[in-house]
Amino acid sequence: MNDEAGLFEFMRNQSGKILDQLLQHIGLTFISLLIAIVIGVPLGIFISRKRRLAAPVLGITGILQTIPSIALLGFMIPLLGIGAVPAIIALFLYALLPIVRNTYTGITNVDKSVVESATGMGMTKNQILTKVELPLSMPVILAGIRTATVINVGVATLASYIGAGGLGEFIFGGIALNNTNMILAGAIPAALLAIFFDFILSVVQKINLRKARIAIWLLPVCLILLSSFYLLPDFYRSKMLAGFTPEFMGRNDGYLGLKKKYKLNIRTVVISDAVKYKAAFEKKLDVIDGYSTDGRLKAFHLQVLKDDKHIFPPYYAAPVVREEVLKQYPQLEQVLNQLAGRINDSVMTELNYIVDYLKQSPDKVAKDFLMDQRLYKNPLSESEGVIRIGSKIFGEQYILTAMYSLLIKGNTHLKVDTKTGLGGTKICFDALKNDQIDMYPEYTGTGLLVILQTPDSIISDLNGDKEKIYNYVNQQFQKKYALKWLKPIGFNNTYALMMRKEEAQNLNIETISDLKNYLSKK
Amino acid sequence: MITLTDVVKKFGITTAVAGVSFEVKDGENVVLLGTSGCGKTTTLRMINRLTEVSSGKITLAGKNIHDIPPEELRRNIGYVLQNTGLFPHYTTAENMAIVPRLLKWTEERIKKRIFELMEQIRLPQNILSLFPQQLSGGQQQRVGLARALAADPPVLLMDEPFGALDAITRGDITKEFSRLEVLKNKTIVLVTHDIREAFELGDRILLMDKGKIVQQGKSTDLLFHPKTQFVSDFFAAQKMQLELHSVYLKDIFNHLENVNNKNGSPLIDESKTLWEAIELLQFENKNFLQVKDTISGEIKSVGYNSLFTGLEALKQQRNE
Repeated sequence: MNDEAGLFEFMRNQSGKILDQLLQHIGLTFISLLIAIVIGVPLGIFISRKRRLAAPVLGITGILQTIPSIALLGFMIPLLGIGAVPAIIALFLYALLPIVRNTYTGITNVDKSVVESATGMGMTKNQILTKVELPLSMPVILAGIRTATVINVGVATLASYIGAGGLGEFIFGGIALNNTNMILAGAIPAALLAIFFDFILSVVQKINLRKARIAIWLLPVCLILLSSFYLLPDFYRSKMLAGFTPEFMGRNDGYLGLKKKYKLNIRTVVISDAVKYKAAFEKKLDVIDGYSTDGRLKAFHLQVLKDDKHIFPPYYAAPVVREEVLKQYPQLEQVLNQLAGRINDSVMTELNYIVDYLKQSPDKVAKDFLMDQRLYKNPLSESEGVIRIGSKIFGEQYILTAMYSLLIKGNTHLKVDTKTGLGGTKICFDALKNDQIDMYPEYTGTGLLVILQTPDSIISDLNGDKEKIYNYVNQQFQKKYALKWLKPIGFNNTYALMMRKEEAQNLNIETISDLKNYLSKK
Repeated sequence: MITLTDVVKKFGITTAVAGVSFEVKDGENVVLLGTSGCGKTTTLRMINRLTEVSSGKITLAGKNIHDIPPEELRRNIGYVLQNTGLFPHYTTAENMAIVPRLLKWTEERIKKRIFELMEQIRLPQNILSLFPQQLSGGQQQRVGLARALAADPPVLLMDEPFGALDAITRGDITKEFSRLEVLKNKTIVLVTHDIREAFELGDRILLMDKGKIVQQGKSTDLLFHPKTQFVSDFFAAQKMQLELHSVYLKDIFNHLENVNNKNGSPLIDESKTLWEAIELLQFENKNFLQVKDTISGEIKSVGYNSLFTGLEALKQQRNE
């Protein structure tokens, strides 16, 4: 396949969406930047007057800066929910440090004798600030704004995790879907945006001395203009709001399938898996996608809508292992297969519930389960080789990884190295293909659609049949990648649409077709 | 014009100025001289309220400066600093226009005043659109002075105005300043640690030490009649040079010989200093000069020997 041609085609097909996301991205970046300037510059001036406060203020803004962006967005959800507001506040907090620090540094580094002569000539404090200190520190302040802008363009990609839109929708969708073109369609504009604004601001910084007075007025005007971009794409409205993960948004057995087969037309935001259940529970979202075995279904009183047109194929979980490793350690396959058929849907939901909601560690849950099943054995000495087990970044995968780890330790002399939290399918699969890990638990449907990107004709031949799909996927994986699917664990963690139980019952919605009918009623 | 009465300034537990009183008359040039830390700069800064007094009273043209808002007070006092304090983001012209603009002069009046000043301070017009960093050190200093004079204030405060210049430029500019017509009728208080500068520019010198005025008077008073050991020690290192600088030929005229066969010698005015006489002797490579008394018309001869014997005789005469 020619990737480059694919990218241009993808970008052309999606140009409307790219433009929307681009505008949202610019809007998010500059609304937060504007707030950061409005608050940061006066704060910087203030601490340059009250030097005693400088250390604590810069310290606090510095600490804010060190919070990982995902974590900061996570903190925002319980306080402010999802959407633009928490995203803007998080971005604002990131932009604050460079602006406050540079304003402070700029003003305190203005030549003392210049300030003294200004005072000596009879300028008031305000005149000194506006005519001497600010103009002379403007290059430093602008450098701070420039840093903040570039940081914000980058961090704003993460805003899509909490349903605030932006170019992150494509980037994370692409990572989840193993779709390089999609990643690039988000990443390239984001990178260009950062380079572009960095360049523009570097120019502003240089023309400074003489034309500062014009630039000072132009800057806020431009900022407000750019900020307003966020509101532009917001013209589609419907009764309900759906929050879908980036992965779901781009999949044929996801949002695309819903549109195609059910003709479902609903306003959507992209949101991360980690927060969507809570958002649905708190009535910030009405419909979300999810996994049918998810523990949070139970925790947040959600109801799965029946897939009456069968767009979601079976997703039976099984370990995918490099054949080379199976040959090297022949005892391994039999050990891993001990789990085959042991866990059905309700058991898996229960285990997930214990981990995700009751906050027990996946290791403990795995051990308890294996003991219950009389599969647990005390670890043997580690004298042979190392098996590297990977997992995607959600609870079920952590539990399965922990179980395999315990089984291998208890039954062989192999050492186990777990690499959990490898993001989405693409990252896990690439790690496996490139010999970074030896195995991870995968789902047949994901293998079929996301990794193999099986053509529609073959999919319809397979007819959603559990056995046929497993065999097809296993055969293709061995042929293409020298990877083997071991026996399925038993449960079917398929995609599902879900709603709050209460709302579903009130509106009498049981299937996805019911939902579609309700939405199209107007 | 300016009076200070028992002015004290304390910073925490240290006393920078310990009771200073003096008066500066209209049009007088007073120099505050002393080593660093003697309190001279603090004294100066209290006059335009950059530093507030701890106790004591300062009046300007009869008014207590404490009753004048500091900004208004400062706009009517020219202030020249050691590092010029020119605004680096303003051109020469804009720098000079700062105080007139604060006083809300019309642009036309400002423009006229700037051209007038450039003439008086002898600065070329083409630097008006240049920024301070494009000017030489001497030019910056002169622009600093022009800026202080822009609104034509009656009083000028100068804090080590030539401190940042190299020794040669400094000597030249000091001489030039002492001759500037615009400064003639200004009341000037100048702070310096440079004795020669003080001698050259001050009508009266206030020698300060440890926050107090040790002695005040004309340069020759301080030089020839030191009140304390500190005063004579202060001038000791440069005594000979200072004496030659501050004594004029007319002062020693009585001690000079009558002319005998020195008709080929160059003529020098009796208002020149002994130092200038020596410079002329060296320049002309002669042993004698002719000096004429302007009143009596008498002509006398002066050479290296007679200069020094004349000076010694004068000093003896003064000490008696």
